[in-house]
Amino acid sequence: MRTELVILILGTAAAAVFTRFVTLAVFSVTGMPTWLERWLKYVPVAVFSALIAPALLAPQGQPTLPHDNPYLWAGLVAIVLAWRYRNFVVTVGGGTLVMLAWRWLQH
Amino acid sequence: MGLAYRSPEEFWEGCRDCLPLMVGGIPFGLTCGVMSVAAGFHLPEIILMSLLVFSGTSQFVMIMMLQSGNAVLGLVMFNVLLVNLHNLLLMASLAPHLLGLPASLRHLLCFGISDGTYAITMNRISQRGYSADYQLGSSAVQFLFWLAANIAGAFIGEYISSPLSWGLDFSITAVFIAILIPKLCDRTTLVVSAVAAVTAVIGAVCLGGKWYILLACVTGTLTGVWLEGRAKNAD
Repeated sequence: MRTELVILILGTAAAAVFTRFVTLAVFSVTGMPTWLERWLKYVPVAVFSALIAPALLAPQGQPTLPHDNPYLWAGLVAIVLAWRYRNFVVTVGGGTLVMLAWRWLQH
Repeated sequence: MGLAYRSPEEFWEGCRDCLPLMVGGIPFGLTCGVMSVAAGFHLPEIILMSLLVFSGTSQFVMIMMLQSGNAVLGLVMFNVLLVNLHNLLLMASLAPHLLGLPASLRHLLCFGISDGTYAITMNRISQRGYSADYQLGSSAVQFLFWLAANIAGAFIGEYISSPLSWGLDFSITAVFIAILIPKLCDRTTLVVSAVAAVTAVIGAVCLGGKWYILLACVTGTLTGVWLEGRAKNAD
């Protein structure tokens, strides 16, 4: 292994792992502030919305028109399936099938 | 390590519930392996990177910077820190469940956190409560699949184009959709979701990188707290 690449890997690991540990390291000393718990109630909804919306509307980091964007259509199908059936396998399977069918038809 | 291994059933349940995520996780890991080779990494270095970093986004950031000749250590670390900032919020939201655990188990769960593990752990909490073994199982599966996909990507790098071009990365989004939709149970959560979604899209397009997750998280959750406070004042 080459030293400069190993140092780069160690630095990347340190930065990535730091963000996973620091919150609990602080809270395990100070305790969990009560005002924070009220605020954190909405974190899951906000995080998932933030992960989903750009992945559907701007899949390559750029806004993509609907006729050229299978992510949007597969996502809409998944949203309808999730709403209607509340079932994990149906939602993920149905959405992924739309995605693969689009790619297959394009070839 | 003094791990109290309490419930094999819940551990396996966590492993199993993670498998739908792997439909998208494997192509992502393969792509990461392929690109690592393209950037000049050798197999032992790719294994070390996969084991220690265990974060696709971070590995991509480092690889991209190396390829574009900007791989100054401090700059790479700063960028990796930025793309991972939303982990602070994920960990804060899991903190009430993790704080009572033995330190060694807690550290393991902290190291193994990812968007996917967070997703299915929160899903399990809303259905049947928190289980450390469940979370550990989910992290273990993701860790092993990630390592295997990185290594496989390093081997097949010369023969295939990017596996992400198949569009299988979509299935990760589909998992997030399956988890989010049942959470949208009232007006407040719908507004929080809409605010976060709009902020995220604008942020993703205008800012680039992964800043938008943190930004959308802050605006979304603040909106929720504000709406809740307004409803209380109206009573």
